[in-house]
Amino acid sequence: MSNLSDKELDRLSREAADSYEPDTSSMSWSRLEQKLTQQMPERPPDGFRFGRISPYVWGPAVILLAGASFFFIKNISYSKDSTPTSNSAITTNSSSAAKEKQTDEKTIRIDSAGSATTLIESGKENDGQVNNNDPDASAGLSSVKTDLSRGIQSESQFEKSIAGSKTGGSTASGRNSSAGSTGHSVGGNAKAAGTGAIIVAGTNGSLNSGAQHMNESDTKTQSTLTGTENAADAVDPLTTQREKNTLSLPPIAATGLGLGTVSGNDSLLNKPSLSKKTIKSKSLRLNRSLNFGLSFGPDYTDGGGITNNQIGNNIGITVGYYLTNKLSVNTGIFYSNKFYWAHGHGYNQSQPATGYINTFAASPPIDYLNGSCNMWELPLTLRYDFAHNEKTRFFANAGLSSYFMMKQNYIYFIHTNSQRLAAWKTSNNQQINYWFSVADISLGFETEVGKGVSFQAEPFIRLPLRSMGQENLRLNSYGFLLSFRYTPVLSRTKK
Amino acid sequence: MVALLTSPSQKALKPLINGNHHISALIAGCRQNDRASQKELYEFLKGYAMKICYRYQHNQYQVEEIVNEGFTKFFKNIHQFDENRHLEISMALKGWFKRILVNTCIDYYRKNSSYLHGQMLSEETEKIADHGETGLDKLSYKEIIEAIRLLSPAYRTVFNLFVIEGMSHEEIGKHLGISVGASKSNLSKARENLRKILTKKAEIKTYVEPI
Repeated sequence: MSNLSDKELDRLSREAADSYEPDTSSMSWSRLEQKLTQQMPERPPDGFRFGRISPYVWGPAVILLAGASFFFIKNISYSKDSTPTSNSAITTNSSSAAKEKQTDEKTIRIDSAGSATTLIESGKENDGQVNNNDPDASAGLSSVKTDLSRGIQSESQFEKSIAGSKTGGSTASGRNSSAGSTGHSVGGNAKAAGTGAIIVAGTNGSLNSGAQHMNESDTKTQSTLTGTENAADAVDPLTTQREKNTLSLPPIAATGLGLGTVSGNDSLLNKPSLSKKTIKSKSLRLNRSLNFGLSFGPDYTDGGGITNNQIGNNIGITVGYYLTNKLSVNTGIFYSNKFYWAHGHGYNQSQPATGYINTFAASPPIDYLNGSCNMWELPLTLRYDFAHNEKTRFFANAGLSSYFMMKQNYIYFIHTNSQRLAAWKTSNNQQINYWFSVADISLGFETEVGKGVSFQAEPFIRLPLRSMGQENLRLNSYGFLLSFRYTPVLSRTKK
Repeated sequence: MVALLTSPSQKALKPLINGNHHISALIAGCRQNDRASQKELYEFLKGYAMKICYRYQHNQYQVEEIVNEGFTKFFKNIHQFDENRHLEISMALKGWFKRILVNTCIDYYRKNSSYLHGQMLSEETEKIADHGETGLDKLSYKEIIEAIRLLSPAYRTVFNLFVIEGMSHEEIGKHLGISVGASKSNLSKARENLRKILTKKAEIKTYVEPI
């Protein structure tokens, strides 16, 4: 033995190491299991643990909360902007325009005549009973609500001068200053205006021609109002233009760059013959009924009460069409991955599991299974916008979805005689279609982020109306969709 | 695993639970931290694990401890194993597991062997006489393995790593934190002592066998 060479000794040792099987009877799984339990806690065997899915509860909640906050903050700021006019009456034409804008945000009205002016008059002014001899007669008009933020104050003064001209007793100096400032302010208004209707009341060439010309206009206007229309028609450019509904806008306003609401007072408009008869509105109606979207988001699927630690996803394109101002029909196509766990009782025991079908008369009972599938989803839903402000709207969406399962994978965890034996994996590439088999409910908000582009967050729940898949499971899905939607202008109509 | 298949119906499962498909499913289950799958894989691999760790430790309890530690590492890191890259998943899995086990043995040795470096043969093994007789054919694999286990931890570890696992002295030095010279020296002494132990065993066997 002592003559054994190193090579021979190594060879013998290797052979022994390869061939010798030590006794393993002393080894027990229980000791290792204890160690694993300490270091690798097992997935909860069943039950729906709230904490494990908290991101899918809190995620949508946070999104909705953020959306709601945004919505209300915008509403508050919007109402602050409009406070000065809130206590005033709105003339017929302007209120109808405003109403139309409110009720139909798909239509943008661009009013090019004084009729669209949101002329706001006090009750005192509505009768047109102004003490014209009083140098401060125009002070009676000072109750006119002007939107200072939009530079309309001077416009109001201009209207005062016109109103004062009804008496014919106004001082020239007062008119001069008013008219001069008006000409300036109207142009300024057009520059500063933001959105809404363009309103230029009583504008004409005299706005730019200075105070003297304005004095003449005032005088002629007065003659018009007192019934000397024949004479006035011949010479009065203001009256003539209003009668013919011709409009002479300042260059900037005429280009449509300035869109804003002018609050002012024009006593001329109180005269039915002038305000209703002669001033007509022109509006541009934009048809934005159709929209396209790109949506994506996570998908948590519950196949039978076992907590799932795998998250699926949805991605797809959508198309929507507004049937009315608030109601729209939406559809699209989504590619989805779903992962789910289910108890053995969720499996249809009357059918042997795939993989055992040719081997056993009866398949072994299944403890639980882990499944995944790839599918196309085709939703068809109706959406109702139940609240909105300038840029944000809240909506509820409900409808039915169709599932087209393309591929299913399952891992079965089985046991025999109460002793767990194995896990078994199967795959099924056969396409299975489920038409309108899932109720699709969602709640969300949409906010405008650009010209014709909006962002939408939409927590959803999808409840199956029937069992699906190879193992006939009811796959409840929860998650949220984040979408970008584009709303093109389909047509422009002038009315 | 196979030992569990006792009844006819269970034996019928054998074709299913052998082969790549089943191993792959077990691995998938282990990735889900499924205890049933872990237990099945443990039953499937514990003999293999014991065979490796048994050579590195003399104490049976410590062997089991190392095996369990190796399994824990195995289950924790099983997501790193890519079964799709191998035709024979079972063999690839064993090779991967072997590396984990050997590293675990080395770690265990390094934790507990600071006082063992350069340890000489125990008194018992020193007294083994070398009579120059050849009883090699009388020795079983078990006796050779048991002889290896009788070596001191430093000699045993170097011998196992060099002879059985096929590592170079540089690799051994790096793993054990010793120099290449120390590794070579330990290997030489391990062989020398192993010869003595085997000779003693052969002598006893030769002496006892005629009876």
